[in-house]
Amino acid sequence: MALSSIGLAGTSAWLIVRAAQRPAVLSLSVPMGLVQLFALAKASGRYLERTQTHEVALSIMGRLRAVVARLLEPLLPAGLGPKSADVVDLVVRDVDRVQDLLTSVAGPLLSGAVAGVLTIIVSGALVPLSVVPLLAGLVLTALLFPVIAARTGQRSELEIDEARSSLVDLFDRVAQSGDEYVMNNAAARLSEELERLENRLDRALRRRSLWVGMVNSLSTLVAGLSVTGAALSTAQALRRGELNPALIAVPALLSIAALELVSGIAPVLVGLRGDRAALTRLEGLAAVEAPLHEPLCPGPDVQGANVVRVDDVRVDYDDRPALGKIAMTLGPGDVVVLSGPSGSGKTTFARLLAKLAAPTSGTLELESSDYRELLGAQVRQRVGYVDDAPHVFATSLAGNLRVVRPDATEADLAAVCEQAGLTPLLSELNNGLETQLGGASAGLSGGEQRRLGVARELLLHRPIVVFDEPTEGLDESTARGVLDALVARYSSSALVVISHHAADSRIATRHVQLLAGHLDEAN
Amino acid sequence: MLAVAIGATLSVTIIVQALTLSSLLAALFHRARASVGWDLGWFLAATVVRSLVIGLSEPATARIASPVRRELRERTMESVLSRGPFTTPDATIQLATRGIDAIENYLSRYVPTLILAILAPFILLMWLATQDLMSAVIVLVSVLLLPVFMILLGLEARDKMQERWREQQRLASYFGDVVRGMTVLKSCNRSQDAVVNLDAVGASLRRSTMSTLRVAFLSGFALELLSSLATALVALVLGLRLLNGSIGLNVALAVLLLTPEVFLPLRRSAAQYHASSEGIAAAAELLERLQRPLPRGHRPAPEGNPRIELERLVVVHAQRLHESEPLDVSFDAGSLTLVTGPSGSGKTTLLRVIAGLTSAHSGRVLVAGMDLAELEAPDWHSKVAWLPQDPVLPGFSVRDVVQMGDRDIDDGRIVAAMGVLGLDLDLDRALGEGSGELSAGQRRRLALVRCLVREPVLMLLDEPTAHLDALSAQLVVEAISTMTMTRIVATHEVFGADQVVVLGAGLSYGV
Repeated sequence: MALSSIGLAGTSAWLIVRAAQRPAVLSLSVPMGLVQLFALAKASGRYLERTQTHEVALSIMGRLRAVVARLLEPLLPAGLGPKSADVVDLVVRDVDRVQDLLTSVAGPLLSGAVAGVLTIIVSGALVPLSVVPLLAGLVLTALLFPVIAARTGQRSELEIDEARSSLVDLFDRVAQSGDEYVMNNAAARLSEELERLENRLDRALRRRSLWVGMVNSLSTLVAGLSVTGAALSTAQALRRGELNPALIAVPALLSIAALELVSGIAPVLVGLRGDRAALTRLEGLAAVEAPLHEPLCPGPDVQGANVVRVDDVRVDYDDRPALGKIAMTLGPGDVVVLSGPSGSGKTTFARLLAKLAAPTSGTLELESSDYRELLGAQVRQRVGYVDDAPHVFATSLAGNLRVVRPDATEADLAAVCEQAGLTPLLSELNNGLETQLGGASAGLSGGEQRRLGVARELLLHRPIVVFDEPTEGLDESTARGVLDALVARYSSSALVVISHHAADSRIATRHVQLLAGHLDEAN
Repeated sequence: MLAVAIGATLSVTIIVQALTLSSLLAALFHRARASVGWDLGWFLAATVVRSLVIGLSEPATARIASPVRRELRERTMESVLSRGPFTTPDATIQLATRGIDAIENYLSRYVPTLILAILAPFILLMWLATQDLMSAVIVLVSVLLLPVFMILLGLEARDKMQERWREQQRLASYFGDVVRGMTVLKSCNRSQDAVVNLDAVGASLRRSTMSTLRVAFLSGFALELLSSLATALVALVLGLRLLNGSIGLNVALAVLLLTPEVFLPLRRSAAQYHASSEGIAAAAELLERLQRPLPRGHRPAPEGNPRIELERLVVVHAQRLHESEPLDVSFDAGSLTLVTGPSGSGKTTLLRVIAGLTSAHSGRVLVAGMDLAELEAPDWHSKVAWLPQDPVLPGFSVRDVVQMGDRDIDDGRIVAAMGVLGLDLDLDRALGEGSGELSAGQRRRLALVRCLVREPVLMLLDEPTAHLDALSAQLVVEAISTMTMTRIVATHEVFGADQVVVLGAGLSYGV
């Protein structure tokens, strides 16, 4: 491609001046043929080049996105680690920026280099002296200006980047908790924050446009000067009789074509810093320590394990003790109702059991295997945890259930819906199991959401399960129905139900209370 | 206007550059030394002017779309605050941030090049025609072919861009859903599947990106081919005419230099059009979303504890077959009403309707005799305290959460309110996203503290005792019972109240 545009400029210049010498028509046929050839090659070359570089860039981007997602997986759930909207932005926006880096910097730099070398060879062969202005122009436009652009643009680019990240954070709050802002007279605060961020963005954009303008302006100036230099050195060569007059226009026109090709690099590089920042952020993920220690290889087989032992476990959050000296054994037939004042560590305890969190000290064992030797996934094959506000995914009700077991049949789904007390909901939804939920069409009440969580767990039917406040938000008769179904279904398993409702303790074979981080079992 | 002036100046300097350079080269060829100095001077002067104009045009045009961006973002925020996210939260966030930035980019980059693309070829062609009619005709014919290509490919590109934007939004929604639902996925050992599925969603984005790019490249190819062929053709014709002496070398060189310049702005413009694809697609979506006017009332909300009346009120349950039965209930000024009923019977929605956050399907809400729909929303909201079912509690610290609407609320008041509810938290305690480290019961009471420190005339509480142990629940109930403003409480736990409304059973009764 670079070859063709240089070729087109060079041969057409040669053709015209050669023609002005009025030679026989026949001697023009070579430059004429070449001119047409280069014209065709230039366009198709560019098309191929662009398609190729983008194919490569996109497939790198796809792989990068997959790698990023894999790096993120152990760092989540959010709330403990990075913010959700930031994480999404990272995967959607930053990965795209890395693609930019590949296509708009690497591509032009490569073709610019080829064009530069070609031009220098051809011009140098014709007029050795013309190499000086040309080389100077190329070095300035393709190397020095881009470096200056990247350096000077750094600050404005980082500012733009920061302002944009803050905007994501702002709109995250608008989308997630807009109602709370509205109802607390705080909507004006959001507008003020938006105004402040927009001002910052405007300032940074203005500064960037100044730099881009300056770099473009310098490139134009240098191009003009280097063409002049080429023309002057040609004049001298001609005077000395070192050059065929037919070729006098070639160095000048070649310079124009070559500098045109590389002039696009510098303005793009003003944005380089931001792209690099994106890349650094992505790389930074690899360095973040996972909140949970996982062994390098899977531990011993735990198929058939039904007993969990908790021994002398304590958990600190930022040096604040959350749980201290907990010991407990859970086995088949246990129906534990776990109660205790809010903030006493019930949820923390439940997350420990499912290896969604790790204790600060003490041991947990599944059958006789230490949790530290087991992968989280191994533990969770046997131990389930249903949180108190199960997420509703933006898919159908069936999809929301199949999330946990993709091969579940229609009959399976209907059965668990009935056991979880979702039958009235099912009969009300306008499209039954296929009704879309989540996102803007959420439409599930808090109690229904909790029963959805129960239904999911029933699909998996693990031998040891903790339900975090499954009866919250349920009226008494529904709550009773759900608990009875759980007791019936988990009769040969270990069932833990976290609850504040005195009525729920009727199902218990063991009453356990957590008080200020300490376990207290009543007999 | 500015863009027109810039375009005209640039075109003139390009002509001067071409003229002087060609005349310089021709002089060298004819070994006429005399005019070289002048030509050189003019060429350099034109170069300097051109570089200055180019340098200034960037900052000048970079700002033109900033007001549009600000306005769009403001209106998007207003709309989301008033109606909730357009689709999924993450797709909405991407549209409001990246999408609107792309729209600005489209306006500040593509639109000026479009003006230049119309203006510059016109000026250059006029000049070409005065120099060499034959070349001007060749160039004109090729230039006239260009719009045909541009329109055909542009239409094709538009569909592809929209498709790509949708894929991108789908990826954001999907990934956002995975991130936010990670607890479920993890505890069911499905997080790896979700990550693998992300590859699949990403792959379809990749495919649609590539097909968008192919159209863009094809358009580039067509334009480049036409301009290269026209340049080659002009070169050949010029060569032949030079041969028979019907044209001078300086004119021939100038025409040759200028021919690609006619196409350059057109090509740049087409390239910018395709580069702004995101902005075009985002604009299409955003304008559609912002079309619906936001509801606005103008009457000031009544002072003092209001009597609330529901008149044949029907609330909509999204995705449900049955609408609620029309409700005719009144809540006396300063009274305490419990709203109960099975889960899913619409308690939350009813509170949201009275808060003015959701509109009713039919019927009216009267506030001290005035229709809620006619009240000025911010004024009404400033008089109502609302405890949501799942409070997000945005803020950096416990104090920041409570001071959300009013920075002047002092620590003493916050501590007192927390004391009433038996909540013991350090005011400086830092909170993460969704105040993750607090337990559900602590979050609920903190949200209630946020209601208590205000002086509302109406208190709307959605399950205030949920997630609370018996003792804490008792404290909350006592706090609610001793307050004097109009209170409407959605709950499963019945306690002493002036009135109990049962939803879902199709009837309401007082106690």
